[in-house]
Amino acid sequence: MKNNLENNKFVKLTLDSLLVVFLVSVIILPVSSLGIGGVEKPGSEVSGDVLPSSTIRVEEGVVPLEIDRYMDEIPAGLLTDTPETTSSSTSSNLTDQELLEDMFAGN
Amino acid sequence: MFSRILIKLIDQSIVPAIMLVTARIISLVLVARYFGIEYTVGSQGIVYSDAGGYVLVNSYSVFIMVVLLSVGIMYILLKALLFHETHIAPHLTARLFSLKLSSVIQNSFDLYSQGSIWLSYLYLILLTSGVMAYYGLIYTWVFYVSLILTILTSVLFVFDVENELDLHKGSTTDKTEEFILEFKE
Repeated sequence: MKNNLENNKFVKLTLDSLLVVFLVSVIILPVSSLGIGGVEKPGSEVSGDVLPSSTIRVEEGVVPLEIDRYMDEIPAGLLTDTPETTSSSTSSNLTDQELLEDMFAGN
Repeated sequence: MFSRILIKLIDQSIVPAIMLVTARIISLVLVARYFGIEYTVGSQGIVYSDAGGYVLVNSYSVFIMVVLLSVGIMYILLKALLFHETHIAPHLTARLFSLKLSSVIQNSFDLYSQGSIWLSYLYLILLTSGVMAYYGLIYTWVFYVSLILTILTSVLFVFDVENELDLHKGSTTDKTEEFILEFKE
């Protein structure tokens, strides 16, 4: 008899606790809705497969351009800003691929 | 088995909760459209293109929520002050029954459970608007308006509770007076 009463009390307490939790969650729900909405962060539209700015993607048939690393080894004539002053007349006939291969031929 | 008060409180809290969430979502969209602020709806919710636009929309949205809550509480207070079953005027009772509006007359348990739930929503939104105003997410006037409305509704609610307590005291005094009259006889 006593056990039965204690069980009833325990069940009642458990159910009441659940009701309190439910009540609190229902009350909190509209307040949490205040979190809906925000500001677009700068650059957030770029997402997915993005590489850091220092990395250059190596694709099929393209030679990686690690220019900084080989700056000292590039012939002075090739670094001129104005293409018409370039002494080598043959260089203009070369494709980019051939030019780069020439540049790094020594390595 | 279940606590009657808790069941009643949950019952009373569902309608304002749905109303507030709906008001929030609709107001965010409508206010943005009204002011011509660009927004996108995605996995992160409603995202606005600039911070100024977000503050504007957020302020008006919170303001609309507070106004809706205040209107709800005013309706409950009106029922509590005029149509409370403990102190409703007899002619008003007769008129309400003739208009088949007897459901407007409510007892203290219904009124006070409703009032406490709606007031707790108002307090929570006041608290949140205070934090938002502090961090510059809404205009400060929204917080001040919320504060004034909260104080006003709380005071009116307390007045009604005081009336109710006075009535209970009065009924006890009446019984005492009746006893004295019998003693005199």
